[in-house]
Amino acid sequence: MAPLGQICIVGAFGLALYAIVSSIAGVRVRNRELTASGQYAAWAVTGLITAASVTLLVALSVHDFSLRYVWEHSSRAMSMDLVLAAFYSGQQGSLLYWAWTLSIFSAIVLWQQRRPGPHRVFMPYVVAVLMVVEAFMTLLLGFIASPFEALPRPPADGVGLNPLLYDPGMRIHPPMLLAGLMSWSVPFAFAIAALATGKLDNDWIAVSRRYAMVAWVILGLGNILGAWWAYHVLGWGGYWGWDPVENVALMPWLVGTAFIHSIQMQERRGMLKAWNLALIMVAFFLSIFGTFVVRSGILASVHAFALSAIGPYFLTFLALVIGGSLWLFFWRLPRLRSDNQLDSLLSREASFLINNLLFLGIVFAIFWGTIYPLVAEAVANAKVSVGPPYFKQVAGPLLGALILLMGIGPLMPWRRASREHLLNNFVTPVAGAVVGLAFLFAEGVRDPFAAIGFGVCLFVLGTILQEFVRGALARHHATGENYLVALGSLIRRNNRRYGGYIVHLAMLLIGAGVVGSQIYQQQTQATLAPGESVTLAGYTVTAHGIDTTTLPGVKVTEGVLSVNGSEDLRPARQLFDNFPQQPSTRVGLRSTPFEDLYVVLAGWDGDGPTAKISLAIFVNPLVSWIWTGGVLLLFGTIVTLWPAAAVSRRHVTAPIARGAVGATS
Amino acid sequence: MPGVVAALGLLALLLLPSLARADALDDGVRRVALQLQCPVCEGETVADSPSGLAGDMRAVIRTRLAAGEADQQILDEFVGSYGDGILTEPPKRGISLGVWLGPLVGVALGVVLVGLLLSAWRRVPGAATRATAAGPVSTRTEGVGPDPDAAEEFHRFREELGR
Repeated sequence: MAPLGQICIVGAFGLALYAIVSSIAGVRVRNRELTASGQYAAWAVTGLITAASVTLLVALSVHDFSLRYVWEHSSRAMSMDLVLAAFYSGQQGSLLYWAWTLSIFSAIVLWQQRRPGPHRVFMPYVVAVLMVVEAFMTLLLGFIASPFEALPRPPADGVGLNPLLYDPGMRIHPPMLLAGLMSWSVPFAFAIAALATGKLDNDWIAVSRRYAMVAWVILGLGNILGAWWAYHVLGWGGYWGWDPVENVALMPWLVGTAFIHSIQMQERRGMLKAWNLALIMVAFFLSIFGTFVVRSGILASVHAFALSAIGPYFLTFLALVIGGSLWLFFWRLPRLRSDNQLDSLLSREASFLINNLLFLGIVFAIFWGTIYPLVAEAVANAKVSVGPPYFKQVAGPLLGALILLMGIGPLMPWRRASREHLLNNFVTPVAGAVVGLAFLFAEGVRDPFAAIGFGVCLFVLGTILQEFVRGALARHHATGENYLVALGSLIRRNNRRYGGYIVHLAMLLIGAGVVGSQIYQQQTQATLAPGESVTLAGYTVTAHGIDTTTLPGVKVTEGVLSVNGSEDLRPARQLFDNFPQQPSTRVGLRSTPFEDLYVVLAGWDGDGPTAKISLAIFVNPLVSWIWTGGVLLLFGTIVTLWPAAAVSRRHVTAPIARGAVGATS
Repeated sequence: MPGVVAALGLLALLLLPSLARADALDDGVRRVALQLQCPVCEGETVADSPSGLAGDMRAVIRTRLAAGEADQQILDEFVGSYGDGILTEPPKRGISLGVWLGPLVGVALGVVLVGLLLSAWRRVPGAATRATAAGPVSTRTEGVGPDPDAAEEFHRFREELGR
């Protein structure tokens, strides 16, 4: 198997290089066949990387331990879905997964953009940029970090997966996150193509907006699933630890969020053209940086960097890509003038600017805090830890301001807001927030930060509901449809706008979940003999010793608990034979819409029903809102991207668009 | 054998009061341990780390708290032996001050940049004429967006709502 996979990778590397050269040369010498051959080469790269990936998957599934990667990351005892998940659990395999998804996305782009149109002029450069990234990845995979390295004497069984990865989350979180980081390559390729061709108006944004939205939702879900996984598996009662690996995956998503907002300034008003190009570049750089950090361990310490074979290559690639992009950018900068002026600070334009300022401010704060230990170590040889308190204090207020802006911005008109407009749009939501806060106060919410957080969420909720209600009412009056039908067709006919509101609602759910769980978490620890109980926030947890089961390759110790006298709850420790130093946690979780009872088995003394057990018990309010928000986020993005309405719209605008093109050219 | 059982029973009796007291102490230990970075693990606090060293540190915190020391006093002792790097919240002094100043400087620069951009936009020569030249386009875009379908719909909404 090893030679077959290796040949596919090296072949893909060669063809990717060919595609770069022939695409660019084809444009330069105006040879259509040459550019077309570049596209065919890109298709072939997709085929070869797919073949390499299938080879690795087959090697895993037949337990071919003559491959070092298969031996290191799987074992015979593992179930088949986990064996296949081992594909992306190690460095080499996850880089192959990254390259594979990139090749699939490249093929999708080639397929979707095959018809003639204004975007065709971008395609040679898009192919070239995507293949530059692909060539770099296949260079790593073929020559530096190969998943197809052979072992001279194949062992009888493999080491198996890291214990932390034995969780349903493992089957979905890493592939989503890696694909999310990868997929920013596509809008970046269109941005570079716009710079290279000099066609700097809205065409590149019109084509790449959907790809950016797809990248955004994949990476967003990857992050939320990561939080969900951490919450279920790591057993410290939280879901986000501001760990470097989490931070580097969050940053490109935040910059991407800024991008999908600020491109509206260019689409509607012809403003921020240079800024949008810069944003998508930064999102791409941070994605590559994120992949690199996740896979090399550089941020643990400068010294880990030296140990990682791929580190210097990633850094060189990043430097070359940043240098090349900046050179193109400054070369075209004189042509990136704004078409319009800003009329008023009370306008949609100004709120987009503040939105971007806040997003970039948060990203900078996270970036600075993430790399600061490295800076301090390199500059002053001092050891500095930057833990969650820094990120909460710095990013927290900025995130709160963003949520507030989420209520104000969408209701601001373009160009200039009048006094009547402001009164008409904001009186009801503000009144709603005040009433809601009074209710919360009566329910016992006293913490000032909670009051601010929930107040802002309520205000934004009011503005969004008001939009839906007004739209549906107006449609009901205009067409006579009943209210529900009116709401449905309102969303269907303006899917971009109302899909956006649904995504904002998802953000509100996540925001409220974070505020609730950060401020109102309750925690206690107890060591309980059989029959003893501990009470926290109305839950009485009674211990009944432990229950130990031995499965193939793993020993599971469950604490036997009852909650409030009846319900059974079994938090567990799992000890894998191959990883005796690394016990993993299975949290005992009882989830309701308003709070989670979260029990961790910290230790035990004795055996069977007579054992004394130590527990860490948390009550986490509103955490399930975060996961619900994730589902709603996916739904809202699908509504935004739903193509039916866009197609009918294209029919309507087609003659105008053609006329406009004719007038300018 | 009965001797062993008796000894265990005695031990349990001795442990019982300390266990009861431990529950009150535990919250204090966690409060302090959450502010300390486990020196041998990646990104875990002393409160959450399963490592032996973190366990020892929690035991030290427990003894100190039981002896009546204040949280800050205990933290200072750890800083004394491990340096500022032991704290999860970087102190606002020395080299760690830089991490707090960075975002302030960054956001301040951003505000200045946006300010410059705003004033530049307000002074763009010819921008006003360009805006009027694009008059029909901008009236169409106002409020809703460039597609006539939605614009028309919104016009209708506005009329229906009498605004």
